[in-house]
Amino acid sequence: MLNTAQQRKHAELLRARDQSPEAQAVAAEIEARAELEDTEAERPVAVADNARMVEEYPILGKVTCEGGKLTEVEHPWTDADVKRIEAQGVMIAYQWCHDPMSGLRQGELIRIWIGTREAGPRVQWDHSPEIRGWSRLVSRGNYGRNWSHGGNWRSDKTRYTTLSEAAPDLSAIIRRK
Amino acid sequence: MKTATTGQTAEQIALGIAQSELNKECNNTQERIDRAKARLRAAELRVHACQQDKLAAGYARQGTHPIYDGQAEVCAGKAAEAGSYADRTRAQADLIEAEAGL
Repeated sequence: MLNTAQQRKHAELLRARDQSPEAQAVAAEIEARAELEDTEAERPVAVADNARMVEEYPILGKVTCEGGKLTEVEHPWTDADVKRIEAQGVMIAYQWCHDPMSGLRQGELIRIWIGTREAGPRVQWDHSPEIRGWSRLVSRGNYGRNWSHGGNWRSDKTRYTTLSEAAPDLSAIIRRK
Repeated sequence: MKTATTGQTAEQIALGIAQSELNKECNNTQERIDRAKARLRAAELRVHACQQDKLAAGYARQGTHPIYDGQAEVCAGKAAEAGSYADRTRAQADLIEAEAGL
């Protein structure tokens, strides 16, 4: 979580990068919230020199993002990785938060879906704190060409901490040497 | 030593002055917090107004590709409604800022 000085820097970067009225309004909101927090804590107003956020995600490892933009990925998922797993009938889809309206959460990874050519979406990883973790999915079969996330599915309520618990076969295919 | 007019000692007067300075400072802090709260409320309303603008733009976009007779008119009406909500929200934000002297 960013402190108020870093939140101001985040707002500054957001303003500079995105000229849309939404981004400007959200930047102003972030600054106003930081100001209120500082005033209540009787802290002087400060702007940090960076607004770096580091999150640890499955498959990708540590991901650094600044001002809503990805700056560093520990284990980037490359085209070669995509080809390798697609050859084995597995596909991964990542859902990133790009909406400026999400404020400080911009740049976060929201979900990961993994599916197979035969069964469609099989597992889903969720970032939200309440349901963080992996869950198994059962597709209705209408996934079309989007094996990882297409069509409709139902998920069971069980949460798994790691992919190898939720789907050991997929985990073995995805694991990089 | 006591003053002739109030009968207070020098320490009591000094204490009174210090207390009054402290009260002034507290009032200033509270005032700053109130202003910061007003600024935040206005900023939240402006973000909300942007969401309403997006809604209006969505209706306007749908209106250009109607899928049944009369949908273009329905969408135009809804776009105008959402647009006026956005204007009202922005006016509320302006009012909050004006009242707080921002």
